[in-house]
Amino acid sequence: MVNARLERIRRLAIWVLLAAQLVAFSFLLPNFLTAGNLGNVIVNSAGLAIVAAAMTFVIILGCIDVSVGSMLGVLAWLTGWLTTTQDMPVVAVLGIVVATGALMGSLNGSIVAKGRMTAIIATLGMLFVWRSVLYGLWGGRDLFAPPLVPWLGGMRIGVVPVVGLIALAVFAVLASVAKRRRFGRDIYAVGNDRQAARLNGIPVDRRIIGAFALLGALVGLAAVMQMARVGVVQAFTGRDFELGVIAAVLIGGTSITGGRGSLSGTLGGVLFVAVLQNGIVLSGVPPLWNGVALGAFVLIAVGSDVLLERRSGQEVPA
Amino acid sequence: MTSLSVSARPILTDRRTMLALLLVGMLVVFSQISPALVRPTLLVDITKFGVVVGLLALGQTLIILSGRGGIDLSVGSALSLSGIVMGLAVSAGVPVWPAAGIAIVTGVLLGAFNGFLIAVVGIPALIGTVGTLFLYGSLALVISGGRAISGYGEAGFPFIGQGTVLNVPAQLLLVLLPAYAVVGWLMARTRFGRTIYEVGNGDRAARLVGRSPRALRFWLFCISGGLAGLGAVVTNSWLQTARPAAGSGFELQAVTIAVLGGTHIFGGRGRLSGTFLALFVVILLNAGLQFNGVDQVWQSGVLGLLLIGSVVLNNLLSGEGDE
Amino acid sequence: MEAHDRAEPLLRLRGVSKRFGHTQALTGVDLEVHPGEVVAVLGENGAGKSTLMKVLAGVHQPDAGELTFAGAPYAPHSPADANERGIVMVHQEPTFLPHLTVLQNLFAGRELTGRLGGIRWRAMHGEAVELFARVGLDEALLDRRMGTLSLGEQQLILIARAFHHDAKLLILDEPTSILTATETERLFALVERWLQHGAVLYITHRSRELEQVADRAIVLRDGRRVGALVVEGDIEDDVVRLMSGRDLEVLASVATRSSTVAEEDVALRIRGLAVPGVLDNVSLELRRGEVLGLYGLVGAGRTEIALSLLGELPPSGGDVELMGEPYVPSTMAHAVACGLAYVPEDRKAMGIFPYLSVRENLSAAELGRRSGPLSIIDRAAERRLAQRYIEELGVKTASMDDRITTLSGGSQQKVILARWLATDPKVLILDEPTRGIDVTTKAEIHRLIAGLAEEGLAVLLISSELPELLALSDRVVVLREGRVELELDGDVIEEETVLRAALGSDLVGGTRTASSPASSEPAAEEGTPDEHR
Repeated sequence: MVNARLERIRRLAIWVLLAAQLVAFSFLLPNFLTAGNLGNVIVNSAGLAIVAAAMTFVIILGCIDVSVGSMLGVLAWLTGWLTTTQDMPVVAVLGIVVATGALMGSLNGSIVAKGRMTAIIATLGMLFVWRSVLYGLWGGRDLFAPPLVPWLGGMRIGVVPVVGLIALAVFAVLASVAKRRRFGRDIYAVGNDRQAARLNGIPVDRRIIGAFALLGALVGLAAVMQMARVGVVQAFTGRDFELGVIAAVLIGGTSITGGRGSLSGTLGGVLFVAVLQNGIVLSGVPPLWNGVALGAFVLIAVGSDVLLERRSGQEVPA
Repeated sequence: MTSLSVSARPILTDRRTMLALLLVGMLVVFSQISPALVRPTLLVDITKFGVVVGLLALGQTLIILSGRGGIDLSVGSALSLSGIVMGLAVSAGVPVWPAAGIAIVTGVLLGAFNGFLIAVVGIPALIGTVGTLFLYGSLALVISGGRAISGYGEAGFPFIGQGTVLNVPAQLLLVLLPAYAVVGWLMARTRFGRTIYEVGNGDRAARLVGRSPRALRFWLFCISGGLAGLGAVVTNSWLQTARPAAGSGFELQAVTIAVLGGTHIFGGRGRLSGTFLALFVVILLNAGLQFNGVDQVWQSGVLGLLLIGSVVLNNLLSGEGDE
Repeated sequence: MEAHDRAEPLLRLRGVSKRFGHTQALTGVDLEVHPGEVVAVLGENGAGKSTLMKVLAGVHQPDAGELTFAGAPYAPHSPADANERGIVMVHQEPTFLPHLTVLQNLFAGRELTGRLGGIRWRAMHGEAVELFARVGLDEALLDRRMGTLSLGEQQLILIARAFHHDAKLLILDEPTSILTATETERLFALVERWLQHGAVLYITHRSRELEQVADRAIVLRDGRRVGALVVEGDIEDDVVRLMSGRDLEVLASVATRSSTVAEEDVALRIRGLAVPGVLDNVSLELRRGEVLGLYGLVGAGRTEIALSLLGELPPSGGDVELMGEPYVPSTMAHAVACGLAYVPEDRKAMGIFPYLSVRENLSAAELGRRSGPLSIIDRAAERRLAQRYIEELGVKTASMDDRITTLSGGSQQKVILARWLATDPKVLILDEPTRGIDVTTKAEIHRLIAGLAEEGLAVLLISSELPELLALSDRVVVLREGRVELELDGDVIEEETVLRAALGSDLVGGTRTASSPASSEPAAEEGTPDEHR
C-alpha cells in the first residue's frame, strides 16, 4: 500500500515541480511567457527530448550512456560533411546518419553486454574515443553547412515548431513500445533483475544492445536537427549534452538503479530542464550556471529517490 | 614451509608482472621508432607529466578497492575547483603557501561532500560523482568567470612544480613518491589498510568484525578530494596559473590507471604497486604518442580504449563480470 | 527397484554424478518420476538435494549420468532451457521482477501479442484471471507489485506461473520453510491440482511433511542415494534411520559428555529484550561452561536475538548483562570489545572475505579489538596467531597466505570460528555452525563446541538441526514469533516437545504441520570452493 502511494508521489513530483517553475518564471521574467520564447524553448530542446526518450530505456535497463554528447558531435560532423561535400538529398543524409548512430550505439551496447562491463565505465571510455574521433575529423577547421532543411530547424506551423511535433511523435512511439511491445516489456524485466529475466527466457544481451542502438539512432536524428538549426560543427560540439539528457531522465522519476521509469516522466523532466536553461538565459545569469544547476538537480533527484526507497524499505516488511 | 607456497603463487598471472613486461616492451618499441625519447634523462623528466594524475589515481585506487561500486569521477573537477579557489585566495592577498593549504582543505571538503552523498545519503557512487563532476567543474568556471588566474611567483613556490633535485623533477620526488610511500605503508601495515580490503570484500562481513563501511567510505572520499587539492597545488606551481578546466578529463585517466593496475572494479582486489606501475605505463604511452606528434585529444581517445580494454581483460582473466 | 515400473516414467535419471572442486556432491544417483506423483527427496543439509535439483533445473551440468525427460534425452544448458522443456524449479529464495506487477511477472518473456506485435494486455489479464481461478488465487493480486507481496504469496505466484507455462515437472525446494500455516495449506492444495497434469519433485528435510504430500521418497546422504520408500503409514523411523546414518553415532559420542554447569556463573543475562515487530520480551540466561540451544522456525527471532545483542538490530527495550556488568548494544566493535563473538549463518555473505588470505581472514576480529583504526599491525604476531589456530583446529590449507576460497567449506568455517576464538570471547554465538559442511568436519566442530564449553566458555547455539541441537545443548530455549515459548533443561529434552513448542500449541493436533524448522541450504553445496561473482 505504502509503495503504491510512493509510486504515485514519484510520478506526480515532476509535474508539480514543472508547474511551480512555470509559475515562478512567468512572474519573475517578463519575456518568459511569450509564444516566441516558448517556441524557442521547444526548438532548442527538441534534440535533448528525443535523446532523453531513448536514454529512458537505457536507464530502465539499469545502464547509462554518458557518451551521447561525443556521439552527437561526431554525427553532426558526419551530417555536415555529407551535405557539403557529398551533395546528398536530405533523406539519404538522415538515413546514413541515423544508421551510423545506431551502429555506434550498438558498439556501446556490445561492450556492456558482451564485455560484461559497467555501462558508465564503458561509455565514459567511449566518450573520449568519440571525442578524439571528432577532433580528428574536425582537423582544426570548423565545418559550416548550409541550412539543411528548415523543417528540422526552426520552422513552425503557426506557432508550433515542427521539431517539437517530431519530438512528441518520438515520445508517443517509444511510450507505446514501452507498454505494448515485447522489446519494451523485456527492457523493464532486464532492469528489474537480469538473472530473473534470463530465467524467463528473455534475450538479455540482445535487449541491451538493442536499447543502446536505439539511443544511438536517435542521437543521429538529434545531430541532424542540430545541424539544421546551428549549421556549424566545432571540436567541442555536443560537449556536456549528456548531462542535460541524464538530468532530464532522472528528474523525470526514472530510477538510476533500473527497472522503473516512464516516458511521460521523462517528458516532464525534459520540459523542466529546458525551461530551467531558458530561465537562466532570460534572467541574465551567466550560462555557466547551467552546469551547476543541472548537477545539483541530478543529485537532488537521485538523492530523494534513494531516501524514499530506503524509507519505504523500512515501512514495507518483506 | 609457508614461504615456499608464497613463492609458488602464480607470478605470471599477476597483473604487476604483466605491466612490468609491458613497460619493457614499450621501451624497446620506442627505442626503435623514436630513440631520442629513450634516454635516461628524458625518461626521468617525462615522469612529471604523470605526477598530478598519479595523485588522483592513488585516491581512485583506494575508493575502488573499498567496493560496492565505489568510484570517484569528480576528481578532475575537484582539482580544477581547488586550484581556482587557491588562485582567488592568492589574488585576494593570501600568501601563496597558506593559499596552497586552502586548496588542499577545499579538496578535502569537496571529497567530504561526495562522501556525504554516497556514504550517508546512499547515492550510488557512479551517479553521485558524475553529478559532482559537473557541479564542481561548473563551479570552477562560474567563480573564475571562465578565466585563468595567474601570479604565484613568490617564496620559492614554483620550485614544487618546476624545480629538480639531482635532475629528478621535484614534484615526483617531493610529492608523488612520498604520497605513494605513505599510503602504501598505511595499506600494508595498518588496520586502516586492512579495513579497506575487508570492506571491499563485503560490507556485511566487515561490519560483523567491527568495521564501519560508511565511515571508511566517507574518509576515503575525503582523502581522494585532498589528493585532488594537492594535485591542484602542484598544477598551479608548475603552470603558474589556475585554469578553470585544469583537471578536466583527469578522472578518466585516474580510473584507467587504477583499473589497468589490476584493481578490480568490484573492489576487494588490487594493489597500490599495480597502480604505480600502470601510472608509468600511461606516462610512457602518452610521451611516446606526444613524441611522435600525436595530439593530446587523441591521447585521451587511446586512453579510453585502454580503459575499456583493461576492464574487459580483467573480466576475462577472472572469468566474471560486473553485472 | 522403483515402485512404479509399470508405465514410461516422465523423468529418469541413471548414475548422475557431479563434482565441485574437491567435493563429490553427487555420486551415481538414480531417480524415476512418473506422471501424477509427488516424489520427495530427503536428506540432511549438504546431502546433495539441492545439487541434484539444480542439475535438473539446468543450473549445473552433470559430470556423468543419463537423463531422460518425457521420452527424450534431457540435457538443459540453462534454467531458461529447462523451463522451455517443461521443468520449472521454484527456489527457496525466488527470483522475480520486484517492481513489476504480478500480471507482468506471469507473462514476462512470453507476452501475448497481436498480429502486428502489439501486446494484448486485456487478453493477458483475462487469461490470468482464469488461471488464478483455476489455482485458487485471488485475482486482486494481479495488479500488485511483486516486491510488495509476502514471500509465501510470491512463491504461490511462481507456481501458478509454472502452471501457466504448461510445465510437466515442478521442483519445489523446501517450499514450506518460509510459509505460514495457511500458506502451507494453500501450497498443498496447489500441488494437488498440479498433479492432474504433471509431477512434482519435493525437496525437504522434514520427514513428517511427507505424509501430507508425497507418494514416494528417496533419501540422499553424502551425495549418494541411500534408500527409497513408499510413503504409507508411519515411516518416520525409516526416514530418520536412512537420513542420519553414521551422523547419529558422532552426535551420540558428544552427547555423553559430562555437564559441568556452574549455577552462579551467569555470562549473559537478557531481560525483556524487544525489537519492534521482531522480538517481544525475550529473557534468557546463559551460564559459563554451558551450551544453550536456541530453537525456532524461520522468523521466530533466533538470529535476531544475536543481531540485536551485537547492535546490528537496535533493541527498543530490555536489559542485558554481560559477565555481571550492564551491557548496552551499540556497535559491533563495542560488542567485540565486550567479549561477544558471533559466527554468522551465511558464511559466504557475512563470514568470509573471499579475496583475502586465510591469515587475514583469521585475524580480522582480533585486529580490531584493542587497537585504534590507524594502529600498526604486528605481522609476526599475526602469523603466530594464524599458525596456532590452523594447527589447533586442523584447518586444511597449504599455506596461511592462500586465499580462503581455495579451502573447503568446512575449513572455511573453522577459520571463521578461529577468528572469534582468537578474540578470547566471553560469550560465543554460533548461528547454524555446521550448515553446508561435510560430515567429518561437522563432527570435528561438534567436538570443538563441546570442548569449548567444558573449558568454561558460554555458548549460544542456534541450529535448525534438531539432533545436533539436542545433542550439544545443556538447555534449550524455544522461540516462537519473537517470544520465548519454552525453556527445557537436562537430559530429558524430547524432540517432540521442542517441535510442538516451536510450532505452537494450536497446531499440535494434526500431523500435517508438525514440521521441523526451516533451514535454507546455502547456494553452494558442502565443501564447494565458493564461486564468487
